[in-house]
Amino acid sequence: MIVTPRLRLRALALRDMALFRALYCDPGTMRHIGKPLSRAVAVASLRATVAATRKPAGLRFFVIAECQSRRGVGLCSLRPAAWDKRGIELGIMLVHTARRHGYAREAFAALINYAFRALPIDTIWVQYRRANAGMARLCDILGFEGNFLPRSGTSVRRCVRIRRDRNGAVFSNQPTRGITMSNIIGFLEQAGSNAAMRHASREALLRTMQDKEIENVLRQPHRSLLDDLTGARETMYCKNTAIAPPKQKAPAKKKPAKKTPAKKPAKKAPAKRKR
Amino acid sequence: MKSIRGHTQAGSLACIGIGITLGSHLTPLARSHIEQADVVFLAASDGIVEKWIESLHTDVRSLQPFYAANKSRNKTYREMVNAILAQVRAGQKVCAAFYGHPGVFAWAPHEAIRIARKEGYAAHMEPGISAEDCLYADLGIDPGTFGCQHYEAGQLLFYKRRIDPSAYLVLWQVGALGDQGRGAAHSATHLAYRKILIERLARDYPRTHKITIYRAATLPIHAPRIERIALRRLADADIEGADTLVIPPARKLEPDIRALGRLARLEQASA
Ligand SMILES: C[S@@+](CC[C@H](N)C(=O)[O-])C[C@H]1O[C@@H](n2cnc3c(N)ncnc32)[C@H](O)[C@@H]1O
Repeated sequence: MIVTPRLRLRALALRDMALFRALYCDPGTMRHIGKPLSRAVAVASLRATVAATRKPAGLRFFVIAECQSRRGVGLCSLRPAAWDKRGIELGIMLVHTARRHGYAREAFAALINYAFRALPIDTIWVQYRRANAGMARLCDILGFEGNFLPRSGTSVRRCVRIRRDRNGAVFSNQPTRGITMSNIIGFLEQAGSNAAMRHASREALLRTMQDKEIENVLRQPHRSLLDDLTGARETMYCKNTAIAPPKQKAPAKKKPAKKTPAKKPAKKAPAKRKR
Repeated sequence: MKSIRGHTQAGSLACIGIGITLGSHLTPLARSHIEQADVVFLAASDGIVEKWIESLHTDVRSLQPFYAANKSRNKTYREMVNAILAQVRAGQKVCAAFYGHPGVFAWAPHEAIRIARKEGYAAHMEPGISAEDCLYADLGIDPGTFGCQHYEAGQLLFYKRRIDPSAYLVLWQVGALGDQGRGAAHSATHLAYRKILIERLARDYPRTHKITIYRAATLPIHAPRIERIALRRLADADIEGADTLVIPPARKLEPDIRALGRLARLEQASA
């Protein structure tokens, strides 16, 4: 059981049929997931899912329940990522009435913490339909990054990830003052590829950044804040080529000059170049 | 198609350039190489650019960890090539992304392609926007106007090169002078090298000649560094790894009277 200030996450069981149906048979909830299930198929699907979570393959399904009312308000899942041996994939769905309460963020943050603490993984992945703006916002707030095409690959889906940080520390649900790395990189990519922005005045850039609440980044005289926020490496080497001085020959012993006809000067082996 | 036909092994290698400025210079083809690769190796010169490329593929491996302060650069470059080739040999579709142009003042990409081809793998290079390209745009220089010479700063000291002071001279890696193959140079060594560089340049240019320290912007929200100083001040200047030195012509183009005469006679004969 995973407990957060308002929620409990417990293992899915056969008695959760009503909740399972309320989610999987509801066209609104299934809009970004797939075709809604019929009631009969939902029964079979719940059985199969509960059975699968008992196998050692690593699939887990949790019921998200409100602490106070004990009411089940959604499901979240955790499964091994097919493309990443040290990665898992998260999923979440909430009943209509439980949305817009910050439950998804609370449950996801707890699940991420749990996964990094308890499982031998380095990366947590989420896949969602690009049209699913709510999910995009949630992932952004939690610090998921990237814009990958799922390996099974249709471009209507987006794949993002969060990695165990460099010190092995557990994920913290506190994006720095609301600034996430992905919106900084996203902004920079836009500023670099949009003709109007690339050579815009500092004031104009500041205004755009204010809209995105990342103007502090430009206000700093040095790069340090930007580097901190994005987790960029501090020392970057840029040298890719080294030219070695020619090997010094030992001073030649004086030999009597031979009286041979002058040859074309022999080509010296070129000194090794490293670039 | 030449490089694709005729290869005998399963792995492949594309060395691509990602340009200098984040978001501005990545060509559609380079982006597609990144997206379609199994493994991406990355040598960027800016930590945030590195983060950006990491967001484009699930398996981006930075080449930065191969560098170390007191490690021989030659060893670093060879290890980079080995790491890249190990994945090619494992049958992977490998993309090695280098900042700027992968073939400009960069040893590892050329070497990796050479070895991969020798071993029967498909390998090729995809050009990128180099610091050189940015320099022409930001400094308003056309290499065709007076001609333009490019040298690695250290090489100019080690070898007898003939500088033409009526053309532009671009010096690369001035910030790394004194660091040939041994890792970071001590600042004293670096300074001593810089003084010798001033002496060398003073053979062809007046010491008062104005030269430009140039650095193209790696982030689109920054401006390029364009700083003009007199040649004799070069030893005191703050020059970092990514700075390039640009020395404008100090002499007028000298007409070649003999050749002009011959050409004039040619014109007359054909008139
Ligand atoms: C190993 S070379 C790599 C050049 C790179 N392949 C390219 O195409 O621009 C490194 C040298 O490139 C130049 N350089 C790198 N980044 C630069 C920048 N942002 N602006 C100007 N010159 C740069 C400097 O002379 C530096 O010492």
